Amino acid sequence: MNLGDDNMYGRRLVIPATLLCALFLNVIPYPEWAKWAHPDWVTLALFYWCLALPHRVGVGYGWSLGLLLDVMQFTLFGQHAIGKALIALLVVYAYPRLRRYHIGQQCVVILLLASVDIGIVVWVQHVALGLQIHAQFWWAALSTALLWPVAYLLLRKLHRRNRLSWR
Amino acid sequence: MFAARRTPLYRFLLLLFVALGLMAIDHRNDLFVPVRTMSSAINLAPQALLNLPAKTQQLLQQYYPDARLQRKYAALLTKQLELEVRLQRYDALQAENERLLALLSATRTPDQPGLLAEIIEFGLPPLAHRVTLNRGAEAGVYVGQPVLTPDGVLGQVSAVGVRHSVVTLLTDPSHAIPVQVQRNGLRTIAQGSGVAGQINVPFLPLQVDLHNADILLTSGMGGSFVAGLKVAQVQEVISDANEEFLSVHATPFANVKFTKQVLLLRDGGATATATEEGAARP
Repeated sequence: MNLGDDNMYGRRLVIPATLLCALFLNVIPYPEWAKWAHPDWVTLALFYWCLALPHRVGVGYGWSLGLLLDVMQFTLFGQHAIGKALIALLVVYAYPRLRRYHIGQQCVVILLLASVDIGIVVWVQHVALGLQIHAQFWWAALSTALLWPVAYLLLRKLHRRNRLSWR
Repeated sequence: MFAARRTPLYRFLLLLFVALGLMAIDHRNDLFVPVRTMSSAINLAPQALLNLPAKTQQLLQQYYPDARLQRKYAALLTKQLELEVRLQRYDALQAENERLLALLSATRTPDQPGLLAEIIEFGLPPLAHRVTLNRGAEAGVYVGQPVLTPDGVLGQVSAVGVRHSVVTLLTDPSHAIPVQVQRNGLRTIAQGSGVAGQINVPFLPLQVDLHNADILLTSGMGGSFVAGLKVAQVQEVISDANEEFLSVHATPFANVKFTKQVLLLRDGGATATATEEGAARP
């Protein structure tokens, strides 16, 4: 998707478009064996854009994405929003350090952030609706972390092609 | 000075409180139900996208019917004929039944056929005890509507979108259903366990008469479900003298893994109470 220099509106749409794709990928069904490890594409996309353009994509984006997830998955309004806003906050504060990290180290950071995010959703679900907590819920964090290199390369390609700034 | 205060942290804390407020309001009352019904229309886009391959296949099969389809068509035609013949008998029986009910001066709401729907999405953990159907408010689906499969009760509609709805399965820990043991008429409540394919029957005294393989039916109490629908079969009854209550596990008849088509009952409660009153009056 190369929209050129003159197409300002097209270029601005790159970030929302990728985030929307991530939202769609989040709600597709998975086969039985992969059910416990469905990766959280929204976290990956949000992490990338907060890392690459911390002055443009931040807490507000994360919160809105979380709210959209709540709408799409019929969870309580705000349940996903807190986790996603927290991820954005931490990345926006730590981006100079995170950018210097090796991609493997970034995977570990994502593992931690995704675990906290899942923890918030599961805990709210536990308190509000009596969901029994299983360790398997956190497999999703692992698969999310393992997919970071793929998401990183993909999004960086889009990012560079459309010559978005690095601020 | 004001701009300097709006750091990401400030914004996060603000949004955190907004989110907490939203959650509290959403949990405590149904203020957001219309908002949800409207906004959940965004779900239609990914679902349409995902159904595209299946839809294309269906379309192709319409134009290039193969031998398998022909055979299936022929089989269905015979089946339909057979059913029509049986339906004539049913019509006669229903007419007779209505005459008898009229004699008993029962007020019975007219038989409303259920609404057929398809499961289009299965919930992923931690929301694994939910499925999404392809019918919504447009087709008259409402929250609390009972959902059946040919094998038994599947669950209850818990949220409604414009063209889809979410069903909470019997196995969901937040779901409870009034049941009756088929063998001896014992009335109790079965609750979701949070484990796939298992529901629990809590708070039964140790000396109660309940065995393995007992069948649980809906009791019609509470008015959400019609009486007499198959719910589950008792799998395990653990009687431990140290515990206050029996520990009873049952397996629902409806298996969500092998089900595509489901039936949404219309006014299940209204019909049930009306007939029960009618039957009890004389």
